[in-house]
Amino acid sequence: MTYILQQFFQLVKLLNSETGTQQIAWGMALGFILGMTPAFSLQTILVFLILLFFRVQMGAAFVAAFFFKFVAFLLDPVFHGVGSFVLEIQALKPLYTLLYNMPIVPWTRFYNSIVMGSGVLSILLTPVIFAVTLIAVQKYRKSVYERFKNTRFFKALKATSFYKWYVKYNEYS
Amino acid sequence: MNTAKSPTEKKAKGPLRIEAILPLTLVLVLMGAYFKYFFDSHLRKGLEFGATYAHGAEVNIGDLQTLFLEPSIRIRNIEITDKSDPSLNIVKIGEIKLQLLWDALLRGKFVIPESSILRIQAKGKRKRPGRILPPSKPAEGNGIVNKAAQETLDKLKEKNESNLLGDIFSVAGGTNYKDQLKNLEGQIQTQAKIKALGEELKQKEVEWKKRVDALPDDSEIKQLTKKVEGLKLDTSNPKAIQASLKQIDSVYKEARAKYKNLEETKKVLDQDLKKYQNEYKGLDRLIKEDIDGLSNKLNIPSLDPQEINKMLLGSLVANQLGSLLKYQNMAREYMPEKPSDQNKKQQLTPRERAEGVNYTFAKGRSYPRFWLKKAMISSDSKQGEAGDVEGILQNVTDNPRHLGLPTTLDFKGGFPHQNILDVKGNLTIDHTTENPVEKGILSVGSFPIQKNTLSKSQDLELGYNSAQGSSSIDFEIQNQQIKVNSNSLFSKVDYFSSAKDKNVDRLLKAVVQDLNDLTLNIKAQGAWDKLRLNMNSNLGDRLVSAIKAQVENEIRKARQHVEEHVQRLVGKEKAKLDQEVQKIEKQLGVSLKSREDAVKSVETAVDKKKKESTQQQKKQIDKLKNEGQKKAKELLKGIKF
Repeated sequence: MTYILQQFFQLVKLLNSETGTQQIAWGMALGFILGMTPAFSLQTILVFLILLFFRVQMGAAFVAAFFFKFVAFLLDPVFHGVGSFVLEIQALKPLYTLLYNMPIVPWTRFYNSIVMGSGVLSILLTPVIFAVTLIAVQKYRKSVYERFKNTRFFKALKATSFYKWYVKYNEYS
Repeated sequence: MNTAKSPTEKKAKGPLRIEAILPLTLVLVLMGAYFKYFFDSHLRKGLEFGATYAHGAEVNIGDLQTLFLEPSIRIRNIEITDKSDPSLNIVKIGEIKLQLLWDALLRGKFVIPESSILRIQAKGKRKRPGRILPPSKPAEGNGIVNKAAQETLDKLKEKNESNLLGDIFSVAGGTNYKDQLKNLEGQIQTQAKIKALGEELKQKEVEWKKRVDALPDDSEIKQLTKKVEGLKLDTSNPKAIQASLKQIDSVYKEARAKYKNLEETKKVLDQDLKKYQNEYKGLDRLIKEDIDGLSNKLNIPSLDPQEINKMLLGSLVANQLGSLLKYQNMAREYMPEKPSDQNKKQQLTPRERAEGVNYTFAKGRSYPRFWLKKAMISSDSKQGEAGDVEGILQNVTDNPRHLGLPTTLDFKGGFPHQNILDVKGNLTIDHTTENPVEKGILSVGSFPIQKNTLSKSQDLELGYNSAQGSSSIDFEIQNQQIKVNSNSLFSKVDYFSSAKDKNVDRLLKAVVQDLNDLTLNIKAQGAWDKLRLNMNSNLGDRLVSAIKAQVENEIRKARQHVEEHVQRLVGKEKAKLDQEVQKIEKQLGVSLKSREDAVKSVETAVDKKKKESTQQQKKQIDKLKNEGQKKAKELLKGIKF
């Protein structure tokens, strides 16, 4: 829990700093994949390992995974349609047969229409999510945060004990 | 000196998060600890829960051990509660060893090439009585079939719970049914049917009359006849003859149009009358049903040995067939003839995260998801309470169609400690095609039978304290059609019987006194909902022959009483309805017949006229021909060749 909280504060800090834009963007992109994947499978473990071993913003990944999990509920019929279409391509059947009968690979559950559909769409959309997040963070820093930090509300917020606690937590973590 | 570094002075970090090794190691250690200390017990509890739910009574597993490096599962002391007696286990298995294949595990499949089932004990005493689950609802996919099958079995149980023997002896005492019959008059369905038919017939009569009245009148048709007869044929030349024929044809067409209407009306009337005649014939069946229904309501029994056997031993048979149905459903659920995902294809649910459809890209000889290739059954009575059993279980799989091999179980042996001897079994579950087949032969040479009450009421009780049984059953279930043949012999039967009435008591005791061997032969065939069940038992035969002389006359009188009552109530109305139908048939029939005759007379007149004109035409042609020939001869006379 502390770790997740720490990551979340880190995200807020990074958002409001001038560095770490790519870390946030990668975090969002990987969180997007996590959120879209329907069940625990081999690719979920792989994404977790990337999150763990690469300096990707985890807070962003968790927030994105949480958000996209809800979006994915509504998109299941689309995933099923796309997945069925991809799995029914006759030209790819020999490849699927090979993968299906290989060790380890079946644990990805690629043969499931929703896993395949969500996988294909999340791989295709990951660069888009990455680029959009990158632009959005830059825009936020330039326009929203710059204006917000001079407001009375922000100054009042800075004076609260919650903010001081947040700063201290951030210093020691 | 201030040694603290400002944030800008912090050393820039690389893309790899080295500090993550510690939490990851911690997670791995925790996972390892879980698998080492808790996984086995959780798996054991999960298996216990699943098996209890599937069997319908408590299943316990003493110990379960999994090994990771050499993937295997060892399960000890599996106790399966006997549903008919929860203080006993139906079977207890000392140990099961399952060795899994790494090659298959890496492909997400569970293949057990060889395993062993050891130390089997039947009907052993449990430490504490097992929990019995309430009967489960039929599975959704097969809901209608299961419901129908359950209804068939419930009916059989109902028969067993009915107090047939009590009813027989109460009729023997003589009962006056007059008042009871009076109260049940409202429930006679034949009366209501006759009333409804009568009312419908009245409406139809009006309808038919309207249709007949709308038809052309006799006189109208007769005028056409006159018209035809009055036609004068102009035979002066062929052209005139042709014109006359045209005139006749137009009258004929007019008559035909009228006849068409007539024909249609006749067809409808014939159809309706036929329907009423059939309904009338059906009334006899309805009267019989009413008589049977009232006899049942008044508890007037039948002296059919089959009925008595069903009453005494129905529950026993229903339980046997019920078990067969349950295990058939279980086999079809866990070993489906079609991969389960194909059945789910249309059930994508958007609310919960949907399951999707699993496509299979299996090669000809690839593994199914679960496959127990071979399990050797081996048990020795020298090992405590276990029995002497040996056998082999082969090809248990979740995808029989892909594997292409049926599941088979062969075993033989006995359980000397429990007095169960000469057990033999051969089962085949073939779900490799779209026509699932389950068949098997089971026989037990000798087994102890516990106390069972065959009939119990306020007036009498009949049953046995103990017996020694031998039984054989062979069955075949193909789709929903079953065929069961079962022969059982209960020997050394220790009966108990008592009745309030001294005569009845004496009679029951006399019947069972000589009946040391009780036979029960069952033949069941057909679909579950229309099961043709034939039950023969010497107990039923004996009882019938013993009580026949005493009560047959009284039962016949009681049934006759009911029959007369029903006939009196519906007989007159039935005859009235018949008369009504005949009257209508006659009236309308005569009316239609006269019109039909009139139209036919037009046809005859037309035919006559046509014939006449054709003859005239022929004469004219012959005449012209002769004249032509004459003229030609005269012309040729003057010419010499």
